[in-house]
Amino acid sequence: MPLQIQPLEAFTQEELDTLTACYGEETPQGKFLKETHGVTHYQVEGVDNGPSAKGLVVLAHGIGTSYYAFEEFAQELVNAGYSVLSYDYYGHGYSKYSGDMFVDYDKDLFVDQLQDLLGFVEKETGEICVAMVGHSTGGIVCTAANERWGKGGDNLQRKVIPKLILAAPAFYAKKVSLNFVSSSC
Amino acid sequence: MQSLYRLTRFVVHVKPFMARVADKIPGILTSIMRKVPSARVIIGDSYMEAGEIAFGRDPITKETVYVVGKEKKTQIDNVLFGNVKGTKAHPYLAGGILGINCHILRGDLLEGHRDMIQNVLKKDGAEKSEVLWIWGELDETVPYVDNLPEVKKWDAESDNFQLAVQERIGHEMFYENSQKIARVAIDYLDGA
Repeated sequence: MPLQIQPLEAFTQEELDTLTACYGEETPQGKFLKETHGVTHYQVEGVDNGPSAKGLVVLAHGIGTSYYAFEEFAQELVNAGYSVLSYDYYGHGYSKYSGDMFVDYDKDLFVDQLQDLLGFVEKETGEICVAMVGHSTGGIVCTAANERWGKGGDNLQRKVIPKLILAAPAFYAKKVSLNFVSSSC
Repeated sequence: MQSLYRLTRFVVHVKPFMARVADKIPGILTSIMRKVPSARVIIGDSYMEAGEIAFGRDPITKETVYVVGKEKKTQIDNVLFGNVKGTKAHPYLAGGILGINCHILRGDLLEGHRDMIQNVLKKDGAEKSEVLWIWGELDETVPYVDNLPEVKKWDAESDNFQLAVQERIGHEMFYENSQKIARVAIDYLDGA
């Protein structure tokens, strides 16, 4: 059962100091959720004055970045009447996988993370997710989520999200340089 | 330890042969990174090297279109990878980047991901979702020019797929021109 926790329940003071120094801030901007595979740092915007007019949009970032990459974009969506859930993948931003940092970060792991988070946030806020926006690797994660949620059956956790916006999704990612590390795919 | 680091650096720079090995046997690379923390600097170096083409460049002058966005991202990355004096590298990011590259973006997995989106596009009824693909015409990371014909086929074959091509935008569209991308996204979400 996902559970909201405080930063120092997720990190040692040293880890937290290193992370906040990395992002140039005194404390993390978002909240922390402990779920199946680790701790997820997330933020919900556009619900301060009650329910949003148009529903919740999830933002999934690219490799090597964090939800801070969507700062301006998220604000535009909020101004247009949407609420926005942005979060960091495990191993990115302030999110932390609970085991070895060199775990197999496959799409199923990230769909599990999103499923836990989205279920929690929808209950917490009363918002209903109407769309997902995925940049690059995020495009693969959002598509994988809708594929899982569209399968039906006894294990169905939720329904598909009606709209997907895939921003330069990494389906045709070019392998550059070392052939194994592509910026922000 | 230093010699192991030098060996790793050498091995990884024997391109593209070792790169193909890394692609095929990601466990080897992961083991090296796990056992030799100093070798993890390679991941940051490579990520930043790849970032050189992630921002759109003018086809004629080869100048970066959104210089401020690129500088901002480079500055952030330099801090995250510990390249700024007095800062420590992000404690988990090297593992996150390597893990995603080996287990999501690995060359042999991409075709399966493309099948996945086609499966999503074929769904009907309550399981149907609408898909908008936003693509910068200057994208070299997910190359627009090379792959446009195939994506255009999806556009022609699926009534729930739309392609929105953005002029003078590269791969890092949210650092390049967030407002422009937001307008496209909001119009789509609003059903305009």
